[in-house]
Amino acid sequence: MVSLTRFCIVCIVCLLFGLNSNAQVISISGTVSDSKEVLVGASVQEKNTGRGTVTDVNGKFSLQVSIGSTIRVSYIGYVAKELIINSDAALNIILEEDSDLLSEVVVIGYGSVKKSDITGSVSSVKEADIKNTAILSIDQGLQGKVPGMVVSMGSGQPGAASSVRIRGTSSINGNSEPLYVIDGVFIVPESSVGAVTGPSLNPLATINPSDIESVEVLKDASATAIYGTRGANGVVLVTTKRGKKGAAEITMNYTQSYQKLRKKIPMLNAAELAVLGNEAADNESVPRKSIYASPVNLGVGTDWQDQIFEIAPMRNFQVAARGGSENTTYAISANYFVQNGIIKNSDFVKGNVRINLDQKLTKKIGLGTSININRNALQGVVTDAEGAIPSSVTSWALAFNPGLGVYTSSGEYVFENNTSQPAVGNPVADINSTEQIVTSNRLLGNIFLTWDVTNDFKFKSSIGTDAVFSTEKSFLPNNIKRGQASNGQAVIGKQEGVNWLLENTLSYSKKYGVHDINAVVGHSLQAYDNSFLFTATSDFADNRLGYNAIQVGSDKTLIFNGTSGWQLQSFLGRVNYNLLDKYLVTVSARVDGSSKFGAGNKYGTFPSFAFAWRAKDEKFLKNSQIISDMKLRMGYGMVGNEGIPPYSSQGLLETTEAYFGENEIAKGSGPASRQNDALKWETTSQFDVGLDIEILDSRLTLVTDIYYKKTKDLLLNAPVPYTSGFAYSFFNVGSLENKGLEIAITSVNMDKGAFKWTSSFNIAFNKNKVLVLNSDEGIPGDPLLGINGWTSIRQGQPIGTFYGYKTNGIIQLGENLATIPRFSDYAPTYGDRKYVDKTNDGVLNEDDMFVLGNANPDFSFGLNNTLTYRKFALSFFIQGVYGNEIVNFNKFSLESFDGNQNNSTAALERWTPENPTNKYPRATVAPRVNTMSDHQVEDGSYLRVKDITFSYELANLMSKLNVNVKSFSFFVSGKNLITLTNYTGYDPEVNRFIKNPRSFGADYGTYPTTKIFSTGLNITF
Amino acid sequence: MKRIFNYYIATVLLSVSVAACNFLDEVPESVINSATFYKTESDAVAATNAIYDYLTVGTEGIFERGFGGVFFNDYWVFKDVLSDNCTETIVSQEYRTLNEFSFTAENERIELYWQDIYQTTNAANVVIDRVPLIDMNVMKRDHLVAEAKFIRAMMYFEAVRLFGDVPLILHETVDLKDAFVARSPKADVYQAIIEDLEWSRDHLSSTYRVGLGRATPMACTALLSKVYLEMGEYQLSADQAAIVINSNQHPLFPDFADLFKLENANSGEIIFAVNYSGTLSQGFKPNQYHVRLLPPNLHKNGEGPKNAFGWEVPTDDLYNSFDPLDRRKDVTFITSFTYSNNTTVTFNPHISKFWDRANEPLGNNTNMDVIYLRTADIMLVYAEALNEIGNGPNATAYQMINEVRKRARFNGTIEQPILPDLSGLSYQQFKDAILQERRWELVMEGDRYHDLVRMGKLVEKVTLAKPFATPQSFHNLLPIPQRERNLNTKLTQNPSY
Repeated sequence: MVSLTRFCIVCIVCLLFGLNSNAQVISISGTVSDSKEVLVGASVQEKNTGRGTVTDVNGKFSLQVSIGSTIRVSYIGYVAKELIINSDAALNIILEEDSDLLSEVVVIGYGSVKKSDITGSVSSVKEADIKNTAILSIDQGLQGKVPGMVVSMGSGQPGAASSVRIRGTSSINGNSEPLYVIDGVFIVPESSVGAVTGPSLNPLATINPSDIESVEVLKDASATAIYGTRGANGVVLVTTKRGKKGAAEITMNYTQSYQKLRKKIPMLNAAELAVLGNEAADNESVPRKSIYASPVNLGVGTDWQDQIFEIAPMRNFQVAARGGSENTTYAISANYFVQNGIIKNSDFVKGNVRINLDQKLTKKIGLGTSININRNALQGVVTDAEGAIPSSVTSWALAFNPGLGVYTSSGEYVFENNTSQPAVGNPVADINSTEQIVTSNRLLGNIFLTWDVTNDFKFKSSIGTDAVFSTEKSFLPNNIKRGQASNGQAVIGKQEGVNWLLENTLSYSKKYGVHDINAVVGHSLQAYDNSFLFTATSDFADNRLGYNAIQVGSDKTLIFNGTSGWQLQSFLGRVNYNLLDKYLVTVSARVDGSSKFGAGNKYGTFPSFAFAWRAKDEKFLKNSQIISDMKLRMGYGMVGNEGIPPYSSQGLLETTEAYFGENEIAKGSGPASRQNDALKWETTSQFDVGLDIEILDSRLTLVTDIYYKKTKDLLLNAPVPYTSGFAYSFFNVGSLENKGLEIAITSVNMDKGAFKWTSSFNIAFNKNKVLVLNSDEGIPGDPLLGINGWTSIRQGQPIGTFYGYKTNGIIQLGENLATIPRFSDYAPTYGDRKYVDKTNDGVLNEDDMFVLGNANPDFSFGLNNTLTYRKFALSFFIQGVYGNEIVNFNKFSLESFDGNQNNSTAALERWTPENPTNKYPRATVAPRVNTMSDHQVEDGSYLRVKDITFSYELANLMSKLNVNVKSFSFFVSGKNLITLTNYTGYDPEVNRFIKNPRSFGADYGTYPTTKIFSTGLNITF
Repeated sequence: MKRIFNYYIATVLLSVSVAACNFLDEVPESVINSATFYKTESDAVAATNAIYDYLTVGTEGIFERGFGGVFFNDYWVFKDVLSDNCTETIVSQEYRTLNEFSFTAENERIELYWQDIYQTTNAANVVIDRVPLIDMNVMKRDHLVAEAKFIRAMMYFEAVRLFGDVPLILHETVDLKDAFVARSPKADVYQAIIEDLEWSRDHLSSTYRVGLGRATPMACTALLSKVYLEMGEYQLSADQAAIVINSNQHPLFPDFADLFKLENANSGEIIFAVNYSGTLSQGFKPNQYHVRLLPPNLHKNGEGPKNAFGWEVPTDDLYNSFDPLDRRKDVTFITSFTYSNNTTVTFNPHISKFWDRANEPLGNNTNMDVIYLRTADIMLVYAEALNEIGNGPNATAYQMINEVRKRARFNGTIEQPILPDLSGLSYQQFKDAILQERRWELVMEGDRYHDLVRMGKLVEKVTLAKPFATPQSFHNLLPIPQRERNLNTKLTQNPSY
């Protein structure tokens, strides 16, 4: 079969170019190396003929060529060399590394290209960019580094997931996150599913950042179309380090960090709260609460924030070895990471082992593997539990009466707050008594086989898997408030998710004179299977055994298991054509078939086309002293999104249970979802124009892109009228657009002797708008604190738009109350807030709501500076977003002014007849229900010094001490040390509903993000 | 090596071609797909059984906001909180505004109740549409459809009384467009209810799936009498009520206390009750009678109701309206609790009539059913209808109300010298007496709000009992949930909301 294929190819080549059999043929041989070592697999080609070979493991080659012909020697990452052959003398060819920045190799889907040959919009982040910072996962390392990529940390809970948006939100269903491909294995979104009530785990936290060689972010459709249905939100390709031939290189790293709450919310003390509570009662002529009887005697009381927050350590240890012999190379690493959370009793531990091996079986056949084995354990505290009662220890700590202590005089926990009914529980008791543990074991890796069918055709077959096995265990004892209703409750959840992928690709690479063609075709099968089991029992007579013996609970609250899965079959192809190194064309297509859609709608085709023009070699630029390189790019493509759960197009039944008398259980099957055969792919088409310029011999490089992307047939599990019998149903609801501009500048500001200063700056603007929505009144987000429709997706507005009333000062004494616009359920009086009556009818209702802001930043930016002087290096990284708003739901409780809970010090500025302010209303025990207004919508812009790292290389010093190390560096770093923001909550990097793209931009009781101080040591032997 | 390699290539090619055939078929393995269901008799039974789950608990998870079906709590909580009978102690926005009559169309409880009503209706519609197509015994098939129609009638009776004109959906939602409909006039809704109840009455078999929470012909007749009364069709109402009373199938229990004894479930006076079972169910699936109504903080040393919150408490106006010797006062309320060591704690009155202390001393999960139709209710319906027909009570009307009063005099051993038989009343006096008697008889049984609205007394009575509340005449109807109006612009709102 092999010889047949080769024969065919030889025939085709002969037919195309003719066999030049007349010239005198000689045999040449030689070695190819760089300045240090021989190059294995370098290509040696006689120009304009089909003759060619590659160097063997010793860098040697031999080839039959015609006398007088030219041979071209090339190797990825090196400058190709051409030689005219006049004799058969042995050749010793030394290639020089291509130092030109634009010639770096960049990984793209199913292959790699020289950076100079890229036609799409691809950003590359190398190991050096994320080194030496105390990051838990790569998404954190990418924050601010890639123009157009907005990374937001939803919660400071150790191990929690972040939210990543590339070029805005292009989808409104459950999946707006980019596709992550780690060493060729597609990470399925389901692998982030943690547990039924626990926080979900970050799927990227399982990859040790130190193992990463490079991260490529594919942004425009011409780059992502090769990923078809999973490319719509952008693609992040992660490549881990592989072995290198030669002696073992061992690196060790230890980092010790401390995390600290960025700021405390200034709260009332016990006496101040009592005064407020009494005033609130007096204002409604109701009896004062007895607990507030004598404010002066209450003093300062308990600072509940101090009771739940602490300075928390974080440690990271990792060791790696890389090396290899003739035929075998390896990269092996291990990593152990422990992070205590700043809320007591919350922590995250992970252990990680990676094994990357490459083996040459024969000259032409190679076998390799990348295996990552990981175990995570997360101990959480309740911070943003969903459900009927929003629970959060941070909210409780803020609400709790400072007049109460943590313990009673007899040394037991104070059970609950005493300022209102129903009361919240003691947050310290909750933190210390409850357990909520999610552990997961994960195997991520693949085995691949490469076969150089001929010099031009290469076949690759890869089998990969991402298998996640997770367990959730939680226990609420019966002696704390949250455990009261259930009298103690234990939950055990187990989940197995196995994703496998089989891919076969055939690539072709050939240069014919001025034509250079690279092509790849492939077929891929992927399937995901998930099975889960959840059990919960309650009514515990005894707390001691907790979740380890859930049978102690006498009520079998929940027994629930199930399985689901999906399959995807794809055919893909791409051709890169390079003419004269000036004109570059890329055409790609992927046909994806998904099991999730109805029979007629399973397959979708996603094509792309891109063109680039390298202008440097044109006459008008050739001799330019200023512009050293210039490229204009243009691309258009279509990508899809199938990020909906399996079976969404089917009418499913649910198992029901009712009882006839006390002896008959009536099991049944009721309608759970509506059949929708018409459900089809969501499609995003994107147009991108880019310009890359290098100035002054690459001292300054500039990469700019403008893009327009339009998503149609938006998939959404949208609310439907209850009259249908259902609350939600999946459909294709409409279309939206994102348009934007991205600029990235890299400059070498100074490079004199021992001193070097480089900067990189990027900024990205994005505008989002919903174009068409098949729902006149919009699709509301999740309600919070009884407020429906605080955010809603509406035609003509961006996703994440906030709606509510506009405040209009405070009603002052002397105003005519009868003329004040009012809600039907509340009669306002002096000291109450006024709202703008848009309709001028004297009545406030939904017709008077305004657009109050939106959660999308106008732009996001990052600026990194690195200064090196001899052995010292200092880098500081500034990052920020501008123009987004946050709904600070905490304000509803922090500024309740009702004496039913503690308030922030804003209460000291409340309206009284003596203090006729227009900022804060009066105290009252009977305020109107929570009214969403511009008062809760705050500017979320921030600029922060994300990271400062100072490092010092001690290798020389060590060698003087006869310790032979390649590198021995010491660093200190600080994260989030300085933040400029007007946001009054804990931190502007906040996103309560991180999993729900319909409800982003809310802050309520979230686990706050932190300041981190680190010191560490990197040693390389 | 090469040969192995060729085999490998062949395998890959084979996998591709095999995969292409059925790789993308989607077969859910842990849930049933509706396309393959509704084929056999057992499917028909399962589809019918499902309706009862939506009616009672619903399939939403315990951690979800919509946990609980129609009768789980809202049915009986709404009717007495939205009246002079009960005060709500939950201070959260949705309950506080119901208590104070300041609720808006945004009220989450109203929205969830609307959802439960229509979810149950859809499950009934599925049976009504699909079961007749199944090849099975016709008598059984009709019986199952009749059960579904009875429940659908219950649901639309709830909807029309609470919301007035409502979307009248009589088929399973296949095309979503069918859910985006305007409100049908009340008269059309009532017509559909009557047709369902008559069909159901005529097709319920007397031998298949009998009772225990499932409809009977007599339940249809009893419900018809209440429906006609609500419509103002007094003669029709009296006719139906007469059939129920004269059949003597469901004679009054001699003692009011017998009604709420677990051993009397689904028997005697009880014509139809929505069945719950604490014994058979796991995971908070019984109704919330004990959790919501019994006094909190009594559970000590293994005695007294557990997990009780006392969320809905009787108004002083209700509690004081009873004659101290009225058997119903003693059964309906609890004001003190005595532990086995003879210590007694006293507290404000709480509603305890649904608590069979002897059988369920710890309260919490209960076997108690939610009584939907019982004879005393129908007797008072009969009396009210006769009073309207004759513009004053006749002998039968007096007989009906006096039998209810007579039972209230019986304290378990003797008849107390209270609540004398009524006589000589004018039309209005008799009407007032009916309203008063229904109040005493039917506390927390899902009637008070409707009784006040029907008799035009909502504003007057609520203002008297709950001075903090601000009921107005527009509160005779609840608002159409704003969520529904946002999604379906064809829905109009009731006045003043």
